[in-house]
Amino acid sequence: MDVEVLGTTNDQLRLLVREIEPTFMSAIRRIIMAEVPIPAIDKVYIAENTGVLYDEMLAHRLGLIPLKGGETLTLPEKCSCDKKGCNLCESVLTLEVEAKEDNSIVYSGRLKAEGSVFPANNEIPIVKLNSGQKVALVAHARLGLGKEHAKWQPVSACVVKYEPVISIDSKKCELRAVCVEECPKKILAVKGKNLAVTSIWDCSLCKVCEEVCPNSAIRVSYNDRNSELIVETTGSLSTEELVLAACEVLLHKCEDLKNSIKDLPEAS
Amino acid sequence: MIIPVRCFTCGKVVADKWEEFKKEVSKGENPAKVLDSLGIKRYCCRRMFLSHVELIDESLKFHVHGKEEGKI
Repeated sequence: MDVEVLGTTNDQLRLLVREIEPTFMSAIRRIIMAEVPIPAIDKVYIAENTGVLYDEMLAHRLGLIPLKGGETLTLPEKCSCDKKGCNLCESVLTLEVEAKEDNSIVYSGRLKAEGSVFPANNEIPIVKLNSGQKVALVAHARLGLGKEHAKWQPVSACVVKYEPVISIDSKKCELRAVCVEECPKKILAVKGKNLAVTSIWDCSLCKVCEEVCPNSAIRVSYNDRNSELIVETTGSLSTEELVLAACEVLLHKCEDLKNSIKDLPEAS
Repeated sequence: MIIPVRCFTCGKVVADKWEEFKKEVSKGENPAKVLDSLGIKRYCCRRMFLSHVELIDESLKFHVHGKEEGKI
């Protein structure tokens, strides 16, 4: 196994992993999407809401705000309080706003963290209020898994892609450059007397180039031994933390399996 | 009503980019270019902006201005 970073931005990571089973990469991908715990608001106690959004809509919007922190929290399923909710598995945020002007927007940055959990993004509009309208509420955030509700899914996109392989038969190619024009990702170019691929990882394996080539000089296939993992976080955890957390979860699963096998009664 | 916090399909946070989008488009900028510059690549997220109507503004117009509790 050999890992290379193809590119990173604030919220996206592109990781190239060579010589790996595609099923293994898919396991990592599925764990990132569904089984890495992150915090999200789960209960909202609304004391006052005189704005135009219903309480339910307000609570739903609050739930979708990505939250950071909460490393010390435990999953309610594993907590000693038996899923009732206590200060070991829940963190409190409060919001108290009275609008002074018409059309004033209440942003997620106004949520005051009483515990370790706070909004990952301070610019999300929660509600719009006219002057005199009030919102006062207490929100309880807890850890959860993506398979329970999408608000606990730490990624907006998490994709595994095989390595594209484009083979060009230079004997058949007449350099008419139809494929260069037609390629939706614009990854083909004529360089000197040859047709060249400029950025192979941007290829989406759509095979338009194959279809438009009059001489069948270009062939698109893939190599499933090498995969690219694209992770796009919503902000709760960084992309690097996400990949590491997923590996950790997978390790625990294997450990559990190993222990259960050990506990089996000896076959006689 | 109000811009959804996340994209319905993929879950990317879109609400924080709405005001910038609205500002640029009202200046006469091409919506496609604004979305590109905001980093909204997928068409599921792009339609969140292009098809959104901020109805909460209409709703707010009909709200009585007053500070007494229970009368609003």
